[in-house]
Amino acid sequence: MVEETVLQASRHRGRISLPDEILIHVIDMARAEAEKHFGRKEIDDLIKNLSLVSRRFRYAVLNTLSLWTRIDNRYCLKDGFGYRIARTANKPLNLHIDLSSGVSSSQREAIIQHIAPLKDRWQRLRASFAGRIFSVDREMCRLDIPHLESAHLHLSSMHNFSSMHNFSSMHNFSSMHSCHEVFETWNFMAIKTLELVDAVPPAGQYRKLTTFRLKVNSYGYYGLLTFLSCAPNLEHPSLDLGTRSFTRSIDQVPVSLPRLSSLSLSNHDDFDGGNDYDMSPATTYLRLILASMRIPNVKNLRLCLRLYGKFYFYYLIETSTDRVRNTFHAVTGLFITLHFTIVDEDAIKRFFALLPNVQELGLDIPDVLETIRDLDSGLGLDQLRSLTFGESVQPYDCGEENNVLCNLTKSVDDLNVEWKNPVCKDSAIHMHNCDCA
Amino acid sequence: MVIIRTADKEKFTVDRDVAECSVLLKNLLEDVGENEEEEIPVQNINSSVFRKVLEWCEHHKNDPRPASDDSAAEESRRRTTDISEWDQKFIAVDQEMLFEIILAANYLDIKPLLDVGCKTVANMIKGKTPEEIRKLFNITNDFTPEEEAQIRRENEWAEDR
Repeated sequence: MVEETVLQASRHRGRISLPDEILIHVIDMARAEAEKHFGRKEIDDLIKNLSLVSRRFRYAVLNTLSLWTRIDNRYCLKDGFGYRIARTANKPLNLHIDLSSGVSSSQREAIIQHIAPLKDRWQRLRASFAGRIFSVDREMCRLDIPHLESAHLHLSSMHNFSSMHNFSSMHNFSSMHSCHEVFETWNFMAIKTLELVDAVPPAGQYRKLTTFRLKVNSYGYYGLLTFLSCAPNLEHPSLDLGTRSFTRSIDQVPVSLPRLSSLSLSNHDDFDGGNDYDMSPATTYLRLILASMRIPNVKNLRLCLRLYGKFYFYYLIETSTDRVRNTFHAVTGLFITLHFTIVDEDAIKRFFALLPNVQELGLDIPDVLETIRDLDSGLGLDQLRSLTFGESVQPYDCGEENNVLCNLTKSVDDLNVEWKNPVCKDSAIHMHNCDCA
Repeated sequence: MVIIRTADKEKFTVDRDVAECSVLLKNLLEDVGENEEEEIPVQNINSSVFRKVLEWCEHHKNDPRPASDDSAAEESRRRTTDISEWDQKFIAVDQEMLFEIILAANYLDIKPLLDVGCKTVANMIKGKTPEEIRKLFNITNDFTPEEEAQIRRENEWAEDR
């Protein structure tokens, strides 16, 4: 059969003569590209245009299941829903459901009526909620979805925690990405407290969860820690936390995540912490979460802090207990992005003293070279093997730059240095016993 | 080193690492063991295409091999992998050679090369009208006017805009 198709290709010069299975693969690629860069209109256009090319193309379109398994609001609100579902050949479904404020009550009911009976086939879910949560939404949140692999939830209601919690109670999550916008912290906490009474999941409930990315603007960290405490197999959580939450005792919810190998933390504050010694609420928040976590095996730590002012960022991981201090001894890869300049050399030294085994270091901090040039004892990172400076790091002239690097890495024998700043992007250097000066 | 014989009887002496980019060749090589004298025939590929495929394999011999039959990984590969600059230059060939490379990659079971080829064709199709696609690939419109009207009606469900 393959021989025949090859012959066909050479016989009909210039004609498309790829076998059907490859044509389907091509269309699937075009679909993936359209989904990645554009959206549903482009996918619909793809279906319409390709269907009309020829009978073979029509056949290939009908048999490219990924074109049909993506279900969004429109298909649930039109007579064509059955037609579309029939094309999916019982394959797993990829749902993009919008239950935000622009959707009327009757429409949301119609949507859920269409998709709920197919819950056993949901594989990926992307859902938006906004405004108030309707009872019909809650019904959807409580569905048991046995084969769901990932959920991307955008929640902008003050009731969001309840929704997230119910979604999270489902089985088989391997990925979860929850986002929501600003709401009043105090209201949120009150609601959360009421709803958690019968909603606290049993330990290990989310044992299949390995990836968790959360981007919120204000959040009760107690709820977050409760959630994390039920996901003992997390490997890659990423937390992007916002502002204006208040603090509680950090020992309320101890979280043990022994499998955690990579942790990414960022905030998105847009205001100064107030004075030289304060941390912003979001950063305080990150610190408290970190202090509650037992994460002895984290090897990669990413910090991205977006706030301004003279911020003593070492406080983020520094605490008074040995337990937490030891936590970071396993870190070998450290990547820091700060949107502000550190002016305190002592802060730098104290911070790196908590991470003595770092081998790979990425620094994207404005004027970081100025900050470290006067450190008389270097950073104390004896294990450092690779150092990357991000785009915001401005180089000096080469000689001076190398002196600074030598100062930075006094106790390091061999070091590869890479620059991302366009000015010196190609000037990767290898330093051996500071012989580059 | 292994010896591979193409459909037009040309022989290629190839590094085992390079040959093993192809799942088909890898399996065949496992069957013949360490016997370097034995020729491996690839009956469906001529030498000019095979030379081109080898060029790709040589460049990508150290790439991690894609996991087999993992639909999630495959979808992720489709979504995230843009065609690299090198691959773009490599695949900038005439249409017939492009199809030959795709068919060879399919036969030899070299998924990443198949993806590069298919993605290139997908990019050629992108944003084009049915007529433009027909012209591009020299395809005859074999629909009757009634069939065409019927398909347009079937696609009306997507016309909510």
